[in-house]
Amino acid sequence: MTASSGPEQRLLGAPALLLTLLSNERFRRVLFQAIFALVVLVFGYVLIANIQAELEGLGLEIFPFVSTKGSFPFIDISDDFLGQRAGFSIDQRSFGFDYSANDTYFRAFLTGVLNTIQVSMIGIVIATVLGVIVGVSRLSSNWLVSSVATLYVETFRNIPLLVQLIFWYLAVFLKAPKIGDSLDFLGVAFLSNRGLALPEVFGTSGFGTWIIFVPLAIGAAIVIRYLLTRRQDETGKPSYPWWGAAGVFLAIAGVSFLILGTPLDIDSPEVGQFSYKGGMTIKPEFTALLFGLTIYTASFIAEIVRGSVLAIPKGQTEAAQALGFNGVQRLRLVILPQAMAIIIPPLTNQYLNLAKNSSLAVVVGYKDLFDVGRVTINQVGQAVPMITLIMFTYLGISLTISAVMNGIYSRLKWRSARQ
Amino acid sequence: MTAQSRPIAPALPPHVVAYRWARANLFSSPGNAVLTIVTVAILGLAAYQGSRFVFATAEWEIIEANRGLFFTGRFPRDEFWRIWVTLHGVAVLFGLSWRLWGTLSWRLPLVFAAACVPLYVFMLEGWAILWTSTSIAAFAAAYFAAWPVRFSRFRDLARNLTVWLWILGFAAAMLPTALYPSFLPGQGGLFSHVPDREWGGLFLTMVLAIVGIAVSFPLGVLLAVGRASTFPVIRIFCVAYIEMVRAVPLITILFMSFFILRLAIRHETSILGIPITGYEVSVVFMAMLGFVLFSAAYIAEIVRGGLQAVPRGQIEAGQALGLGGVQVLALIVLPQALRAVIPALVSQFISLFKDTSLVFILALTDLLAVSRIAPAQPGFIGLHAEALLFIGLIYWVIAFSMSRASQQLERNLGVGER
Repeated sequence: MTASSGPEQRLLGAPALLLTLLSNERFRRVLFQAIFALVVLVFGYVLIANIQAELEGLGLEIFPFVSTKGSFPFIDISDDFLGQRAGFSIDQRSFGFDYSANDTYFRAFLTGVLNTIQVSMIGIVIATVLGVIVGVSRLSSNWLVSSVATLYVETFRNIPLLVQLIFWYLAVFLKAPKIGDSLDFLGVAFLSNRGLALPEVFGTSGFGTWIIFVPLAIGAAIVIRYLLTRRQDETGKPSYPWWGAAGVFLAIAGVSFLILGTPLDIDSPEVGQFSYKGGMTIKPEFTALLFGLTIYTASFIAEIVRGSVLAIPKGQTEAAQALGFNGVQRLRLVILPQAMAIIIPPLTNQYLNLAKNSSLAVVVGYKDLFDVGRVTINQVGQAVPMITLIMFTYLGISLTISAVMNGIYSRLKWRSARQ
Repeated sequence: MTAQSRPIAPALPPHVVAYRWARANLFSSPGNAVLTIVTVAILGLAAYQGSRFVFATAEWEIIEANRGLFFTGRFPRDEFWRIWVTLHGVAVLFGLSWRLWGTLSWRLPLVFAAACVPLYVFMLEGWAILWTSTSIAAFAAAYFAAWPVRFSRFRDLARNLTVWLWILGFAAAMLPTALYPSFLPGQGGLFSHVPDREWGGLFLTMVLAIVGIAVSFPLGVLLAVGRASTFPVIRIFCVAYIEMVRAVPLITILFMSFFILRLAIRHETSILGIPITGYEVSVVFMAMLGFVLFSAAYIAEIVRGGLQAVPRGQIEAGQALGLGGVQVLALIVLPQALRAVIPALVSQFISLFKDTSLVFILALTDLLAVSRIAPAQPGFIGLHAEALLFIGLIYWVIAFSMSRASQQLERNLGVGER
């Protein structure tokens, strides 16, 4: 001990200290990370300083809406460009949000955000339904059906979404007949290059009272389903819980509907000279975007569904067959509940992709948040704050979708763990 | 039982075989029969309308008249030889690689050839037919030249050599751009300078995709390793980067690259006398940067899955052999991790290839942009469907070939088999 420490004592001094330190693994780790952090910080500093310097040359600021004068959260849009009059109109608005060209850029941006949320929500629902249908069809014992499903998947998956969107918009929906020669779907819906006209359902005088009965009917249906399921589990005889629930719902909702004198009315569209009269008209921009997004995303969802169903051991299907379940029952009661646990994580990714891909609306002229941001950049030249704002908005949307899907996933896991 | 049924099977007349097949696969139940009939009706209608468009109404002259535009944009004709030389080099390397790593099933080239028939019919003329044919011949020649090597003792040597040829070839192809670049305008070069605003069409699409894949792959692996590392600072940085990038659309990254990063690169700054920024960079370069930054995050996420799949015992075994941390990573963990995620990696490459079409929004003349320009020409006004279907076919052929090639590679490497 003393013999070996003797020469080391004499080596003391800065170089020896450094050597000792470098031979210490913890020190090396700290040093390595410190260097990494320094490089990142210097790089980030140069980046921001450079941008600031370039923007100063143009008379702009990086974050004009962050003001240090005000109070927390130090954001004040009133005296920067977001508080100014936008001056461009947006003819697609969602969720009844009101906007006119006299409103501010901020309000225009909010309109875009709501449009993005609307198309993403509708798109996710339709893409899921279509994707599950195609995915299950690929596994069909019917050769023709599975071939068509394969053809669908291989075609739409391998062509860029942007090409498909432009195709739907320019080559399909804008090439639809002029309004006078609208394609007539049984006199209920019409399609022309002005858009898709659908009947609109709206509430009349008794609607306010009737709408109270609807949650009541839903609640009663849930209770009945629960009771019938329990009876079925106890007695082992089928007591048709779904039929019972549907019957109760229809009885309550239907009878109150009739008593209140049909509080819902349908406004059917009619073909006018320049536009549709009545009903609701879905613009070709929205239809093209929705078609493109759902058909493209469904091809990926189909593959996820197929992969997950195939991952369920074959014995499960055989066991269900042995219990006398038919094809639909096998899928609904045995295969899909198990496949769900495998499906959800990749499905979440597809939902996120769909929401993010809705930014490609810019090529079909649907005013989503990215397109509104782009127009704003063109008008006021505030690219840096605007792009930052857009990115953080998408970040928020993505985090929301992830959180919702994670909630569903953990609930599902909890349920399957309980069983 | 089998000995009895075997001689009977071929004796069945074809119509009975067809009947039994249809019975089993199309009409096995009343529900299935209805499904079949409905599908046939829909398919028939679609096929009728589709073929009426393709063979009667469509005006394909728009494609023929814009051959050059579709393939190379405004690339100067005198410099076409560069593209042809590169194409021949790639064909040779593909031929070699295919034989050395894979086995050629004839189905893929056949599908590829069938899909290329419209290209030959509409698009190619004169010299282009010759050079396309010679590059296919170069592929075949390289494939058969490497034929005996596959099972000889020179196989590993040949494989290493091919990998190096790929890397050197990529560098050589990029060298004129990197040295006498369109990135730094105002400089002449070894060859006459083709500024990148003259790149276009399929050529630009391929350049963006190949550079994006080649550069984002190593970067993504680094990010994944950083995320799995035991250094908290590095791990946090990598996680933040990956999650931020994956939460936003590609188009916003491209816009950021164009409007924000370009400002930062333009402004002159030097640290310790070394100029780091202060370059006037081109739009194509910024697009490449955007794709690389974006794709790396997705590749990192895929590789992370692969890293998690490598059993811990592998790392411990490597350490027991006395290998250092980097060696364990490079020689033991990464080869297994990457091999396990080949399908996901290839689908990421395919989606990057498809995503290159977004540069159209940034006013670059890629394949998609050309399909927008062509129907604006006098004489071809409004022929959107023709142009879009044509480029759709090109994208489809390339993406589909990539996915099939990856399936084959997967089989050849025995992924998922023990």
